Amino acid sequence: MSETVQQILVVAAVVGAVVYLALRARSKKSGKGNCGCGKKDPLK
Amino acid sequence: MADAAQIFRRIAIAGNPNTGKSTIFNLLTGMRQKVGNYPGVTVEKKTGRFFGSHGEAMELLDLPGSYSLQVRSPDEAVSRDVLLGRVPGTPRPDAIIAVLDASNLDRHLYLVAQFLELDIPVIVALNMVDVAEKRGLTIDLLALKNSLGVPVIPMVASRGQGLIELKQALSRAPLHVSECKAQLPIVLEREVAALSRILRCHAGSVRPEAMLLLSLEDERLAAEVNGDPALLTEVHAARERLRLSGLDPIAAPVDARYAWVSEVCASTVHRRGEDSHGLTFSDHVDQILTHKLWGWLAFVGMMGLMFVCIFFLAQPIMDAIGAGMKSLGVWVGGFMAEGDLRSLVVDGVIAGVSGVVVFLPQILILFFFLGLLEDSGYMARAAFIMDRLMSRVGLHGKSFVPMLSSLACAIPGIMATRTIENRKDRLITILVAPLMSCSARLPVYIVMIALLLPAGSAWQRAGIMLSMYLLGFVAAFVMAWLFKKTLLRSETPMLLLELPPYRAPVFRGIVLRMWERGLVFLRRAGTVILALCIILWALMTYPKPADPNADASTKLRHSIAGRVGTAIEPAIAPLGYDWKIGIGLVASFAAREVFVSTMGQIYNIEEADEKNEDLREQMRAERRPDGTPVFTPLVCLSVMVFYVLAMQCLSTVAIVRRETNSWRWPLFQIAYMTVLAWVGAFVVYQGGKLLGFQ
Repeated sequence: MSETVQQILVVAAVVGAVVYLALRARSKKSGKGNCGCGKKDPLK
Repeated sequence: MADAAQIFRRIAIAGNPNTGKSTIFNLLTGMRQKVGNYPGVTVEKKTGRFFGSHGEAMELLDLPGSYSLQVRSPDEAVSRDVLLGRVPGTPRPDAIIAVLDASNLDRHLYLVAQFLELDIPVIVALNMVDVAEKRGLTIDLLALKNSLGVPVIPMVASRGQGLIELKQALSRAPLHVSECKAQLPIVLEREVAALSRILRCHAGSVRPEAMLLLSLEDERLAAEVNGDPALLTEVHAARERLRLSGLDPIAAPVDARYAWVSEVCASTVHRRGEDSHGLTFSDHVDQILTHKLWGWLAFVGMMGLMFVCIFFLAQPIMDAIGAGMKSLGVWVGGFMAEGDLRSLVVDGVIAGVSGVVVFLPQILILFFFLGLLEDSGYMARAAFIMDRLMSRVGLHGKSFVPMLSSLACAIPGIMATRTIENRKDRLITILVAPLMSCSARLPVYIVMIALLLPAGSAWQRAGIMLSMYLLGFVAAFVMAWLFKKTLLRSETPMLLLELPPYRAPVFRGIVLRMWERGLVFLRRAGTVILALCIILWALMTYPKPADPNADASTKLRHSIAGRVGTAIEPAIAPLGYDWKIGIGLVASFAAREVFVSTMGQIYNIEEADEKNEDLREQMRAERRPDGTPVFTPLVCLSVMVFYVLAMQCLSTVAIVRRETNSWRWPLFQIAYMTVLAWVGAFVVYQGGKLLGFQ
C-alpha cells in the first residue's frame, strides 16, 4: 500500500469519526435516538 | 362509533399508580396506551369508547394514578377535579371503576374510601388476584362486596380474566351509590353538612367539596376557594369550631378512613404463612434490612460483597481478554507496513478500544448484582433506609431511587427523576445524580486500585472501591443539602414509598438484562469509544516534529494532545498529575472510560517495542524526569477522587440539557463538579503529602 493511500485512509478515518460523533450529538440534543445507556426514554 | 348524545354511561377508571388501570383501559377500549412502571405515567386525559354487554355505548376516562384525593402532584389534582366535576368540558362521571391491587388491598382501599364519599357509583376491579394468591392472601370476595356495598370483580387484567364480568357490571342499570362509608366523627359530619348548604356547585359533589375544603392545608385552601372571602371565613370558622371540640380537621377524616380500611381488611383478607404476630416472611426480613443500624450494615455489606466479586471473579477473564487483545494488536501489526495507518490501527484503535473492552466481565458482574438487588425487592428497602439521610438534606427517598439507578448509568437515573413532583427537588436530584459512581468509572477505579495495591487481596481492593462509591454518596448528599439551603430552597416533602414483598429473583431475566447491558457496552466501545480513540490518536500523533528521528516522548509532547496536556500541567500539577495524565483527563470529559484507552494509546505509542506488556505494568514503570514514579499511591487516590467527583460524560450533559430545557443547568453542573473534583483531588494529594505519604 502506497504512502498516499495510507494517508487518505487515515484522514478518512479521522473525518469519519468526527462526523459520526457530531451527528450523534445532534440527534441527542433534539431528543431523538437512544440515550446511549440502553434504556429508551420512559415517557416517550 | 356512538356520538356524544348516545353515550349511555360515562365511566372514570381510577386507582393507585401501577395497579393495572391502563391495562384494563386498553382491554375495554382497544385503544393502545403505554403501560409503564413509573408512578404517574398517565399524565394526560385519555378517553376511549366501548360497548357494554348489551351493546350500550360507554365512554371511559383513564385518570392519572393517585394515592389519595388530598393532592400532592398535578396528576393527582386532575383525578380529583374530574371526579368532583370541576373540569370544564369533562362531565362528572356516572360511575368509577376503582382498580385495586389485590396483593396490597390494605393500602389501596384508602382511595376507595374517598371514592365512596363522592356519592358516585363505584365498581371495584380487584386486579392481580393471582399475585395475591401467590403471596398467600385469601380475599373473601363476598365479605368485601358487603363491606364496600359495591360490586367487586376479581381480575387478572394482564391475561384478560374478569373482563366479561366487569362489562356486565358496567351494563347493569341502574348503578347504586354505596351506603357504606368511613364513619366520620359526628361533629365533623355536622360541619360538613353546614358547609354543604353554603356551597353552590354540582349537586352530587356538594358534600365531597365541603369535606375537601375542611381538610385542606391553609395555603391550598386559599387557592381552592378562589378568592371567595365569605367562603374562606366560613371554612375557617368551621375549622375553629372543630379544633375547639378537640378534632384536627385535617387528621380526623384521614384517621376515620384508615380505621374503616383496617376494619374492612380484618374481615376480608386472610393471610397464610403468617406467624402468631401476623408478620410475613418479608416483615421478618425487613426487621433487619430496614433497621436503623443493621439496615445500614447490610447495605454496606452487600455493596462490599459485590465489589469483592467484581475483583475476585473478573480478574482471570479480564487478563485473558487483555492478553487476547494484545496478541491481536501484534498479529494485525505484523501484516501492515510501518507507517501512520499501522499506528492508527494498532496504537489507536486496537489499544484504545481493548483498553475499555477488557472491563466487560466487571460490568457484567455489576449488572448481575444490581439486577439481583432490584428483582428481589431490596432496592426499595435501600431507598427506605436512605430516606432518613435524604430527609436530613431536605429530599425524600423518592430522590434516592434515581440516585441508585445512577450506579449503573446517570442517564436512566436522570430520566427517573420525572417521578419527583417538586420541580426544585427534581432539579437537585438531577444535579447530584452524576456524583454516584456509574459503571463507566469502574475501569478507571480498577486500573488505579491495581496500581495502588499491586499485591493487595480482593478484599483490600474491594475496600478501596467501596470507599470510592461511598465518597460519591457522601458528595451527593452534601451537595444536595447545599443546593437545598441556597439555590433551590423548598419544603421538605413527605415520603410515600411502596415496599414490595421480597421475591426470588428470576435468573433468566437477570441474565437477559446482563446480556443486553453487555451488548450496549460493546456497542458503545465499537462506536463512540472507537470514534474517540481515532480522534485522540490523531491528536496524539499530529503535528509531527521536524526531526523524524525524535523519540516517542518528544513526538507525543509535540502533538496537539501533548501541547494541551503541557498547557494544563500547571493547573493539574498540584494534584500530582503530569502532562500525560492531563491528556487522559481532558479526553475523558467526553466519556470517563476514555481515560484508560488514552493511557493505553499513550503507552503504546511511546513504548512501541514493549507491546506485550500489560497497561498497568507500563503505568507502574512510568517515571518523572527526576526518576520518581508517576503513579504513586497518592496520585492514584487523587485520580480516583477526581473521577468520583468530576462531570465527564457528554451523554449525561445532553440529557440534563434536554430534561431541564436549558443550557444553564448542565453548564452549572459541569462547573461545580469540576471545581469539586479539583478541590477533592487537591486535598487528597496535598493533605497526604503533608501527612508524610507518597
